[in-house]
Amino acid sequence: MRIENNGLNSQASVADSGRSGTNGASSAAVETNGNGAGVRNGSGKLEGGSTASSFTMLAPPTPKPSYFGHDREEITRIVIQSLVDLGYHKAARVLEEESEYTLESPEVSEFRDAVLQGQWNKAEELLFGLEINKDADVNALLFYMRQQKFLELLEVADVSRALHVLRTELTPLNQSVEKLHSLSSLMMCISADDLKARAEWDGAAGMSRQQLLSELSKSISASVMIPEHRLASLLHQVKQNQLSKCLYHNTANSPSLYTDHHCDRNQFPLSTVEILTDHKDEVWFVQFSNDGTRLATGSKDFTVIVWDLEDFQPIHHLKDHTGAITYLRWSPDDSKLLSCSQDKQAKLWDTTTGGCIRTMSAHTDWVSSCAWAPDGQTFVTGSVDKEMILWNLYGESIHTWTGARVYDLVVTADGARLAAVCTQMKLHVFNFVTREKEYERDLGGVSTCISVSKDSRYILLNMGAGVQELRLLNIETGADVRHFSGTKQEEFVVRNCFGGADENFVVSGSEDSNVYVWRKENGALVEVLPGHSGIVNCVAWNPTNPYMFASAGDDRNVRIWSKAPQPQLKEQRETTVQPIAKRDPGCLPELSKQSGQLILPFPCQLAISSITHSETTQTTTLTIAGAAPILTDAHLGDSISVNGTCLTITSFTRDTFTVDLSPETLRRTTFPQSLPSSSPNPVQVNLERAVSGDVRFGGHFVQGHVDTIASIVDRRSDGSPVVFRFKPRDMEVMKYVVEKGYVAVDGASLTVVAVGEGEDQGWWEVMLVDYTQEKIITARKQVGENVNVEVDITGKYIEKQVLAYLGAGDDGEGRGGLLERVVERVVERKLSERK
Amino acid sequence: MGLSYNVYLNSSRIYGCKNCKTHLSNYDDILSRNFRGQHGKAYLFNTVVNISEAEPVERNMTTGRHIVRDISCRQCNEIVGWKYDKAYEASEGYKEGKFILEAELLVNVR
Repeated sequence: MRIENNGLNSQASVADSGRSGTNGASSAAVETNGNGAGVRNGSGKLEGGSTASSFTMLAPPTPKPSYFGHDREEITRIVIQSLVDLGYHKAARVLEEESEYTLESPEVSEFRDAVLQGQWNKAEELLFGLEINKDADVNALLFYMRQQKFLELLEVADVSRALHVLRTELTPLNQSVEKLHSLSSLMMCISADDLKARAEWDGAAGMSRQQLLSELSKSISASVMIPEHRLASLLHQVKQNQLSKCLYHNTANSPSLYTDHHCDRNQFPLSTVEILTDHKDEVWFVQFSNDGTRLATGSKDFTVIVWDLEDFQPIHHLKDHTGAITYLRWSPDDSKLLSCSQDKQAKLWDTTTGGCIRTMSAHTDWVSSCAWAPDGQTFVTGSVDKEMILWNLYGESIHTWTGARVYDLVVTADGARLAAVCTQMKLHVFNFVTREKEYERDLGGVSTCISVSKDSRYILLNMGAGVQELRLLNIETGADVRHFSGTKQEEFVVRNCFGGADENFVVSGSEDSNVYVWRKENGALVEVLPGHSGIVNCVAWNPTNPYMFASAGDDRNVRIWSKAPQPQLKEQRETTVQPIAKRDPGCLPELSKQSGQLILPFPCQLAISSITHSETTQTTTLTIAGAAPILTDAHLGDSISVNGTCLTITSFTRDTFTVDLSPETLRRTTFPQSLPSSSPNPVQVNLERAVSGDVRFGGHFVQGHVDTIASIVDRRSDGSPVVFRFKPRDMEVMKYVVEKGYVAVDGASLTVVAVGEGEDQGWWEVMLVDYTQEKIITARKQVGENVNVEVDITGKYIEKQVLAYLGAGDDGEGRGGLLERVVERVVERKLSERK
Repeated sequence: MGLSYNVYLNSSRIYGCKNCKTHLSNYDDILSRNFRGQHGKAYLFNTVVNISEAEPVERNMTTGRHIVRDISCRQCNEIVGWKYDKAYEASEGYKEGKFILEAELLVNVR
């Protein structure tokens, strides 16, 4: 790696940087002797002429501009180093010439050579000439170098000189006595190979000198000797940074450097694409087959269903168990399926035929969990009866581990370890090959589920009551690596899994019906996915498709989640519009609950934004804007009461909707056929949605079928409440208006405080308290304006019944009603008795 | 509601449900052996596990009026005894919040 130094300019600039330690001074200004004196040895080693020859330059070179804010020298030297790393020596040399920077000063090059060639004395001298980090232990560095010297001497069997080195050079350095002892014991080695084996050293001809150089260079100031592969490590940091920020990172590929890496949220499985509902009771377990083509689900209904993922149809229903299914496991080659059940048995099934091959009945309590050995020839079942049993494929028990009541167990993919969690809040890890216990660890909380990562290094535990989080542990040490929180888990078994391409994610179910997903690398919560109702018991990720996972819940459903399909707009649902008049008979009335209160808190905001009339269909279309609060759960065909008129939404957007008005509606209500063109105030309306099932019933049932309109004949204050007197256009409705009864005015249910009737006239009064005045538009109307009126329907029904009994038809004609007939019969009977 | 496991007790003598062997209480939790239930001998326990409680009712016992609730094994739903909610006589107050398990309905499990 020798780089020629061309000219004194570069030397001076390097010396400059060597002295300052930082590369702030980008000026390559040539300096005089004063500069050279600052570097020991350096000037002594300058080739040829003296610094005086630097004055042959006519003018100091202008400072070169920084590279987009980065120090030019740093960048250039790093690039030179990268070129050398990549093997482009010629290019590196040209770059050095052109940029007039060198990668390393000559001292450094010489030092490097000295080390690589084993010229230890020279190397030691040069080491002191280089700028060493202040906190570097010089003695340690010397020890290292001299150790190499010692080992090399032993290698060539020059024992006496080696001993000399040990005594005079290594010992005085006051390094650890153990090291000295071990080095001296190496002198007993018989041959060079033995030495190499004992010392774990690969000889002078091997990489040891390079390694020594790397170690030494770490202690030398970075600007003098750039850390090796600096560009590569910088880029590595950039990638790590981008990856850690990418929340939805779901690929195993290393990101390209050409663009900033960012995974789109839409590429992440966020929506339910299928719901499998065949189970008849809570579904407690779900697992994909290892080839990703099938899914097995186990339920409290005692059955296991194997599904085909092409069409999401069941392939097999496995019904032999007599207890709820607690756990399932596909064999590594997917040819068999193990099921564990509360009937204290585990069954082995053939997944092609759906038949039960073997039943393992050795357990005396619920079988809680099972796992396959990676070769598929043996498997372990665990139970709360304190035993874990290792079986072979013939259903014979090979080995039993006794002691812990096991909730869940796993076998690592490399077949090295068996890990289990028990009722006593402990984690037990066994060596699967020797079957000995490696360690057990107190967890401080109950863990209901354990999963292991594909690389067999990490285990994921679900912690329940009191702790309520997920923990990632290192399986070798049992130490916590990371926590993931957000789930709710108090009483029940909730399971987790690793997921995503390269297992970037950790997924868990929860008692609050959501599925939780976190980034494994940094614990960031990626998504909380609602959808299930009731506890989400188990989750599983498709091992071959990073965009699909499944969840099983108490609601008897298994949901398959994948990338969002094309968004289906609610507005696109088909519906036919029916004018009001045709809707009335026969159809179910849309009951809208009136309580004097409107859903909308701000009455000012609802105005008819436009009215259009079509002569051909004789239908008027009303558009209302600013209605976002009531459109949150709207669907086409829903009924909205507009000024007490039940109207059907024919179309809607986020905050406007349109309704159609038939001629009958226009006759009976106050809706104009068109908006007054010059009105400064918009025509405002009361709006209310239809009643839902869980509200308090504070008024009376109003259908939204307006009977007539009435005009305001008087308006006066009675303290702060305001009393309105209404006179209906059609006097017949007065029959149904009684004092202290209900009338719906513009859709608001109001109490009648006074009624006045007389020849051909009638009126009633209502009182609007402050609150009502704020909430409905009627309060703002003045004398002479009109309102929609609907009377209480019960009055009408009663009237009709009475008329039927009295024999008077609707038109007043006597028709021999029931009462009359009764009287007739009684009279006849009496008369006949008399005779 | 979800999968949940029974509680397992840790002692040398454990009483369990006669029907399904679910752990109910420890020998060490017995407060008194001097009780009689509908099936004969019964013991007063400090704590029991794996039970579900019924609604409280008022009952006249040999020792006076009490408010009790029947308790059954949560696994097999067989009644195993009752729990005292309230005792009207002051001298019986020590029973409040404690449980009676009938000896006839228990087995020793280990």
